[in-house]
Amino acid sequence: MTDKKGQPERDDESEAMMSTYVRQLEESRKELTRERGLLHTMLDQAGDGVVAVDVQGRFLHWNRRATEILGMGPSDLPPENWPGHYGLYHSSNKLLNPDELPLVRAMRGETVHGQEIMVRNRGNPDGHWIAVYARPLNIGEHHADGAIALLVDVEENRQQQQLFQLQSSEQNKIGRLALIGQVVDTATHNLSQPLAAIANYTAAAIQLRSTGRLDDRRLDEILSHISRLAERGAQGLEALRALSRRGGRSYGKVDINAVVQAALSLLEESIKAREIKVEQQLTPELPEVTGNSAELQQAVAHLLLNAIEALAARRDEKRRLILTTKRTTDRDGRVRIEVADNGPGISTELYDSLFEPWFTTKPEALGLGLSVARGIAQTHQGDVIMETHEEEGLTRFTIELPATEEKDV
Amino acid sequence: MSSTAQVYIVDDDTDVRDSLTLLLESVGIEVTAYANADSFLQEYRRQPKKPGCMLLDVRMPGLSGIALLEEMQSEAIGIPVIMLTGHGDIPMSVQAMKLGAVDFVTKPFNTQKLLDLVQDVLRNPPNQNRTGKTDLDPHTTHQRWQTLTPREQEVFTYIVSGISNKVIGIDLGISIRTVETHRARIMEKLEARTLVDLVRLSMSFGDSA
Repeated sequence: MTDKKGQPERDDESEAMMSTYVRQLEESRKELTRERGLLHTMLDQAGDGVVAVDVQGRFLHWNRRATEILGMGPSDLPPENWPGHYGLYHSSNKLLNPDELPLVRAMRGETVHGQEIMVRNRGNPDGHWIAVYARPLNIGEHHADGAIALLVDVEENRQQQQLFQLQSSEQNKIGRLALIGQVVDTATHNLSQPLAAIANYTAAAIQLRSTGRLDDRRLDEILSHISRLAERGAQGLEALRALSRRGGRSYGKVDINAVVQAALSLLEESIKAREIKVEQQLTPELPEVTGNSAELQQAVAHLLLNAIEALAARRDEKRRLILTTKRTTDRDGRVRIEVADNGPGISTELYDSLFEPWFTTKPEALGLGLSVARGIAQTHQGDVIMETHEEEGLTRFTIELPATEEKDV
Repeated sequence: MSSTAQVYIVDDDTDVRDSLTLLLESVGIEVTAYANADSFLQEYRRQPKKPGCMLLDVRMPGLSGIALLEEMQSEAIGIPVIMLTGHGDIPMSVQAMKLGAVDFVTKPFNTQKLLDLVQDVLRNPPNQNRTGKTDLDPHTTHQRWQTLTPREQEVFTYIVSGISNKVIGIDLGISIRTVETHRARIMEKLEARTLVDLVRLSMSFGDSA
């Protein structure tokens, strides 16, 4: 920047330049403050606690949720005093060693993934489980500038799980009742076929033996058949196990294709008896769903049963049941289980009543299937939807469920 | 047992088919087994078989047991048929009896009973007109029918159509318990021990029921 017109003018220009810089700096500072404010507001409203420290372990950030979860606010104490001050314990009621603290580990450069800690202090006299995710905070390029931690209230998740289990056990009872006739049918068949064959082989062996025609080779053959048939009978009990109380209340990641296959096998007999052609279009590598597999299996079985019963009204032999699993193409990528049939369909006037308990258009049905299926879908944050495709002559019921996302820091 | 005794088994379950074959062969009966109704029909059309007796599974993929009975009726295939049914297949069994099946046994079956039944059918083949009529004395059965109250006659008609107690109750506006009581009285009055007996009787009643 050169100027040949003399000092005073230059000073004026510098003055102007300076004030522009100052204004720009001021703007930037305001901008930074605004952004900082925005960041803090966002962090304050986060569902999980967020705590950040610098290299000395001084708190750079501590959001509102962190205070709620820990039952107290930040202090100036050094890390070695944190376990005693905040009341951070092992499950064995022993105070944590400062070296074991997730933030301290992260300051050393470690990444901590869901370390469970019991918090018990004045704000939390009964004690409270939290899970902590932590990792080093890198602001500069070459070294750790501190650490950040995410505090997750595990207790609340546990309570949600308990609520989930309570709701679902109620549904389970009704749902099991509605399905039991069909499943017993399948289980009875699965058991009676091998039992009949065992009885036949045994009677044949006795007959052959009494007439002196049972040589060792034949005996071996018959015995190996009987042993294999006993095994087949045991497998036949699987259908009943799915309905038993011990069918599992467990809550976890569920493979939807496996659930669909299991539901189908529950109703194998009803399908065969009504001469229904089943077309399966299962998408491989479907994302997992979080929930209870026994219940989801029940929900699918109800939709299948609904389709099977609808198909009974069809007199010709072209009864089709199309079973599809897929992921929606939108951003959420929900998992869909579709059950379509080419039965007589449902009048749109009845659509509103369809999902009500005890509503049925069939003389032998209880009218619980769709309402139970929807109830189960809803406890899994999903729903059941009905669509009619007149051009293809199909009625389709779909269970839509959120896919499980990988949670990370 | 004469050497010409021939039993046809039509059942899609390999284990049941193989074991039944061995059982019947062990008492000297000649067996031909088919995994489905179509393969039996195809072979029969190529070369008609000697009468003997057929053991037919009611539930099969493809052409069902009932459909095969209908086909046999329309093609006048005069083989007496014993249906093999699962538990709770009563409507289907009733339908089968009406299509001319001589009896039905529920799986898993008592092997001795089954053998007795098969040997009985082989020794005394039922008349071949396959109308489903039986040789019960029409006069006696009509007399028994007269002893039923109008309500019992009504319930009887439902039962032999293969309708469940629950649905009979709903239709007639009475409890399942009452249906059960009616059913027991009907069996007693008609001197029937099983549903098969009832179905046979209903066929001999003809138009009166």
